[in-house]
Amino acid sequence: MIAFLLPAAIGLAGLAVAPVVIHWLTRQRARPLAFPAAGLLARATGGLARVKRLREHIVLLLRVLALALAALAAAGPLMSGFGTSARPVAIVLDASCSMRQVSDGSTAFSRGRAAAARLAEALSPRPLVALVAGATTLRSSPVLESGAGAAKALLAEAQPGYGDGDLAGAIAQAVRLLSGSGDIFVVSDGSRSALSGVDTGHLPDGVRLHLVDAGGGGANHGVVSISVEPGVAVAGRPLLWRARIANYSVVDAVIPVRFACGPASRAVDLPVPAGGSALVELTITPPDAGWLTASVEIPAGDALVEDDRRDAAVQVVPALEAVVAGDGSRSDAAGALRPLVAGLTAAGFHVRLADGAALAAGASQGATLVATAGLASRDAESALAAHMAGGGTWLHVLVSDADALIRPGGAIPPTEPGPRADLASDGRSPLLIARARMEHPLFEPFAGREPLLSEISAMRLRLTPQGAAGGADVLATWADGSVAVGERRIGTGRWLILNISTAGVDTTLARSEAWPLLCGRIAAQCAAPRREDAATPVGSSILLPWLHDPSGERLDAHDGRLRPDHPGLWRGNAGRAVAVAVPASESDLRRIGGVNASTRSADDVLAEAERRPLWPWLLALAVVCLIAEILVAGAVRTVKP
Amino acid sequence: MPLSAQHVPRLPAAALELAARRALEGRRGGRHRSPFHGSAVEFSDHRAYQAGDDLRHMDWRILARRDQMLTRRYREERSLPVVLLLDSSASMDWGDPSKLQHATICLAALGLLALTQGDEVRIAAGANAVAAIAEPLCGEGSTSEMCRRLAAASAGPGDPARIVSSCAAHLPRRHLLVVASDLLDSDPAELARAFGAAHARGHECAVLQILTRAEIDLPAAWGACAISDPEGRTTAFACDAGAAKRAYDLAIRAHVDACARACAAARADHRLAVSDEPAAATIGRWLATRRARR
Repeated sequence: MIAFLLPAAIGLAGLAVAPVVIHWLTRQRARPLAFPAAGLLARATGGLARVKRLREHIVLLLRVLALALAALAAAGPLMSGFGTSARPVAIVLDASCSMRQVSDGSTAFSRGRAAAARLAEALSPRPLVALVAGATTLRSSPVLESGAGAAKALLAEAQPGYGDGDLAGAIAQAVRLLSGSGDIFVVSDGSRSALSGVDTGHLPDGVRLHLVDAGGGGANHGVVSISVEPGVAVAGRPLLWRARIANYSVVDAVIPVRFACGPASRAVDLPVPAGGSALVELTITPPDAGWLTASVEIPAGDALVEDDRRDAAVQVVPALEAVVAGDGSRSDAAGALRPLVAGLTAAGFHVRLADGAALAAGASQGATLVATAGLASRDAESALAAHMAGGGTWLHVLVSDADALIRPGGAIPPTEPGPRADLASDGRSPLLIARARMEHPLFEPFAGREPLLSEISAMRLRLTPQGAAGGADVLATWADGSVAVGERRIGTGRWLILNISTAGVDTTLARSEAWPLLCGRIAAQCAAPRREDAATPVGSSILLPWLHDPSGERLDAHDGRLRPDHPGLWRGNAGRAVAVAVPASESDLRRIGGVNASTRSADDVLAEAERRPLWPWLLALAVVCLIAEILVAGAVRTVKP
Repeated sequence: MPLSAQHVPRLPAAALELAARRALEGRRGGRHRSPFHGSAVEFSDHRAYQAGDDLRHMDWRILARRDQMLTRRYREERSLPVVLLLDSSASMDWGDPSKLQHATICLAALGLLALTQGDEVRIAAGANAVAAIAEPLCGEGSTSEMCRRLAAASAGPGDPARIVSSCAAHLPRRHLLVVASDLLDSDPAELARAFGAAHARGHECAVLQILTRAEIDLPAAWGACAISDPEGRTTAFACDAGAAKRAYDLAIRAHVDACARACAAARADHRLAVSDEPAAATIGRWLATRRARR
């Protein structure tokens, strides 16, 4: 049986009569002529005329055939009924939050799951595997199997998540399971978030991707972010909340919004343009330190209710906190800690002292800066990594041999410290800071006062070979080329390495006027000006041992990480609050344009997948006809009697 | 077709001469060799004296030397009997000027030359050419009559080979038969047989094969044509002149060559003429060639 992808294109077959019409219109009209040598002429050319007429008819036939075949090929004929393909199949079901959207009384997920089940049933004779791209996990039936028992069971128990299903990852996994050959059916609502990152152009040649439409694409409003300014909330200082409300519909809307933060609340009717967003602001001054939460709500009634409420949480600190740890047993005036503490205190930090064990136990919680100098052990590596992952700054002062060995989270250190050199005992002159990148924000206070930096001299330091900065941004160097100050971004945090010991026996930093200025600048940089979203997206990794979800159920960490799988206000120890929200991208239910959006119903896709395309053959046949026509027509034109 | 003596080109009789290659039997005395013996200036041979012979022809010198009575014989010169055979079939009435016009003028010029030489000219033209052979015309005063007879030739089917055969059998004496035809429908073998038979009867044959330029060199510009035969011997057919030119040109050349070979085999003279050339030039070149070969 033959079906057509573009049946209307069959009408183009009418063009096939064009050569006949052209031939008829342009044919040579024979004029009557009496010729005495007609007998001779007839005997001389009789056979030739017959051959020429035959060739002309063949040329005409070939032209008609070529056009008719090309028109048929344009109609995209598909032939079925020649047996079922044995190509393996992978069914990928989108379980992202956008699949929770409701239209026509059912969710896109329920429709998609039914379509996936229908596909699994229809394609069960073929080796089949199913994958569910959920919020936090990618679940897959074990292996390619005939009968699709495990796949059907997986699909039957699948539930939609609250996060952004990783369809691109699921497709990549499906390609691996199919070993480079087979059909992948992606059942999705076709929203922008679902199909972002899916690049059909990079699939192997043997893999065909079929997008199955689960329906949806309705109008939606959502709270997509709650930002806070400043990024570090300090008790007694004003805090500005900003909630962004998006209108993913084709008409402008006035959206009622209720904003609440502790005792303060605000209700507004917010005009939001179609396809745009608007902000709602609320200012509050937290009186005490502790955890402060906020929530923004818009009334339900659109396609997706999960994004109509968003919680946010920030920790209010009494002041900018710094934890200073290390220096082993040396706490005398010549040690490194005392000048460090003094400098940070002078810069406005509330300084707490700790050692490596205390850091490992969580002493850095709530601190925006952790400074270590002469840390005797590597116990605090995980804590330092978590601190930086949470946006904190680690001031790493290289004093002892152990300092050089600390590798937070196994990361490459920003510099590779070389051997420690005692210049004075070696009879060498102290080194001076030779070069500093004065345009860097860290050295902003030294603008016009460069000698303050260049006067710092080192008697003992680690000689770091030039170029061994390990990806760090070298901000200043000693006269021999060793790194003096380096910086590297680790996640959202910062690793600031200081190869200038604060100990008086090592360098003149502590006695220099540059030190208070440097500490002040570090303090200013530690207080983030703004935090873009005070909520964590569902499925994100949180470095906490456990949390209670909004219903009070406890979730324990695996491998030191927690992945909350639904939105709401989660609680930890000591009153810690973690706001978990639907990813902002899931609110946009509009269909993506372009190639990836050519989704069709399961029946259509199934029919297409089971049919063999005939058009390449027809096109090839048309080309053959065309070539034959050129050859025969050439022979007609060059025919020699 | 009206044809008057003014239209007939007058060939320079001093330079050109219509003469036969063999002795023909003119009825009147003239300037051409004949098989007859009589009183003339050209000695032929001796024969034994017979009673009644004119004693003026006795060869006295031989009688005096050898005592043998021999009578001197002289070859008699007579006029040249010419028969002008005009093919007036439908195929001849084609072209501009038509082959028939050209053939008529050529024969008229030839006839005029013969009359000027004092020879006798007969005209055989039209559908029943043999029956139309009339009394011979003599003297320049017969030019108008000759033109009238040529112009009065009626159109009709005519096979040159058959006409020549009939004429050769019909004519009581040896003649120079000059045929003007396109020979398009003639079988060269038939021509050879007819001319051979005429030669055997003592006649001398000459053929002026007259074709138009288009018949010799088929114009490719004609393009697609529905060709019909003026004589109706061939069924009408479609033809592309451009495509057929090469084959046709070869075929007509082969046919002309075959006709020439057939004439040569029958010791007949053959000359190809193109209808758009001046008749005087056609006849002049032919006579010059004949003279050179004589």
